[in-house]
Amino acid sequence: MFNELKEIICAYVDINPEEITEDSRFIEDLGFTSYDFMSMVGELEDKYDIEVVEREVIQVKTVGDAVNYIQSLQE
Amino acid sequence: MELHTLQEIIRHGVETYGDQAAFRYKVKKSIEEKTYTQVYKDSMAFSRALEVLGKQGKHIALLGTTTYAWIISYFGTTNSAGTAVPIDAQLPAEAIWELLNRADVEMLVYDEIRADVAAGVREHCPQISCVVSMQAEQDSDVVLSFNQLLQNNQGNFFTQIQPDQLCTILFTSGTTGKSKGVMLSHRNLADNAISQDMKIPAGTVSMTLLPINHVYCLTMDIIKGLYTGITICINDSIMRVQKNLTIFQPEIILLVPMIIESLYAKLREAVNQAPENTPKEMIARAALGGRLKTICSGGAYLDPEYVDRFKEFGITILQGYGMTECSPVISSNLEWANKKGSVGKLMPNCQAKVVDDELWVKGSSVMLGYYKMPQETAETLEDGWLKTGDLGYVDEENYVYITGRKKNLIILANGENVSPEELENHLNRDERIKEILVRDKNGVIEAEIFPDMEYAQKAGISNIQEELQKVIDEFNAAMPVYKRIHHLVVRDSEFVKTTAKKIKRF
Repeated sequence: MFNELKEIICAYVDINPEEITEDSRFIEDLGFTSYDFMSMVGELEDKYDIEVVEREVIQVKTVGDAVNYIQSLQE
Repeated sequence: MELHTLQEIIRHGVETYGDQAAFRYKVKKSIEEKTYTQVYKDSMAFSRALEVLGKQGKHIALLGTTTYAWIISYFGTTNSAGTAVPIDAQLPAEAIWELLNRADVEMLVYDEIRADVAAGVREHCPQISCVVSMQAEQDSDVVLSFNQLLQNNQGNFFTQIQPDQLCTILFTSGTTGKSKGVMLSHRNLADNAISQDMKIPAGTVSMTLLPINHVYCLTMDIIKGLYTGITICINDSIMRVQKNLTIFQPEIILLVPMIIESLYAKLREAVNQAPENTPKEMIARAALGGRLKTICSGGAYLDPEYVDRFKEFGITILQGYGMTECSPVISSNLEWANKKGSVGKLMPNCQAKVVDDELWVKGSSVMLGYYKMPQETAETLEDGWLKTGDLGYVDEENYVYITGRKKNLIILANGENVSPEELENHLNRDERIKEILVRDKNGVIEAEIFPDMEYAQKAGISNIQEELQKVIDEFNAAMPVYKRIHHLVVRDSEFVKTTAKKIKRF
């Protein structure tokens, strides 16, 4: 899932996939705006067939957080 | 037609548009529709409910995102001579309770996404004696059901409304750190919605996605939309804009620069993916729902280059300018009257003058004042003139140009206003911080901190950068997304001060 997420991230921001780690913060390190982040979450909803709760997802800061959150919704 | 109250606008809606769809919104996997007639009847039902509950004419808080229930509660309140107090659903509970108390709210209508706030109201807001859930199907011991209130109170309702009476209090960021309750009358809002005819035909489809507790959305999406006979589609979450553009296929949409920039990036990407020589208009149609022709931009400054860029895709961007204190629109570009680089022509109900480079405006949309803040009101209003805090000028054809900002306020690309002082005051309480400055750095909020090294040494802190990042992370966790600090700079010397010993802001 981490690799799939990297690919999706690169569609939103101009960054080398090799630079993305689990600790990369979406806004501070990867340059996402808050809107782009939420748009990407919407795309992840469809891709992984999950329903995200907005007030929970705003606590997601890093790529690792995102992977964990998606996996928790899939269980 | 001269309409100066929200009651008249709703009445005009039912008489002119009747069974045409006023709202469309998703309910699970299907689309629900409410007509102008239903909006009229349901808002009257809510007014009747308020009367029965003894809350007619009182201050009623609305806490939630854009939903049909929110909208009906709003008009049901204002059209029964009450005052609606829209509250930002992103704020922490403590901040919301404080606003509810400051605004003398007696009844709370809330969305279940903020059930935590409702649960604490008895303890923190003793003057609130009535709490209504927008989603509950039935009344419970402590909470009433909005749906039951509507069902049980169908029927006619009328009370005389004076155009200049207060109908809405909206909290906006203050430059000194304390938020201010902007008081708006029926006339303020109605005139702002109506005075500029944008020649939009009835039956046009829009999609509302900006936060409804912001007056740009409230006046231009909802009130103007209902006056004009638009079918207003409700975007259910900022996560689902792309999907909902395809579902609702709006022709016109109100956006802030952050979203416009993001949509443009999408269009560019779509051009790269499409076969060569595919017409750009066709690409835009595929990417943005199929029928989008017009984007109205407000909330923050938009780089004028975007107007040309979207024009290539067959989409017109109309940039406007305003502030909550002016309900909010002060000027707007129009299809047939626009100048690149300007923020539009002054609204017909607005005059402007420049005082020491600062833009002052006057007209029927200028607020009544700040709620229970007479000093701040006196500092902002002078003989009916509103001091905008923005630097600018008006040309001979009444087009407005903004050249800078006098007030110390961060205006983010998503239209949110953040007071640097508010964040600084909050963080200054931490013993690890000696001095702090908060600023806008390339669109994100940055904090520059001079740490208290003496305290750090005594507390055995070896890595001050890491320690301060933890402070920022804790602060951010308690803040709505738009108030978060995303960049930290640690300095090793004191800030340069003014003669009054205040940190110099460059």
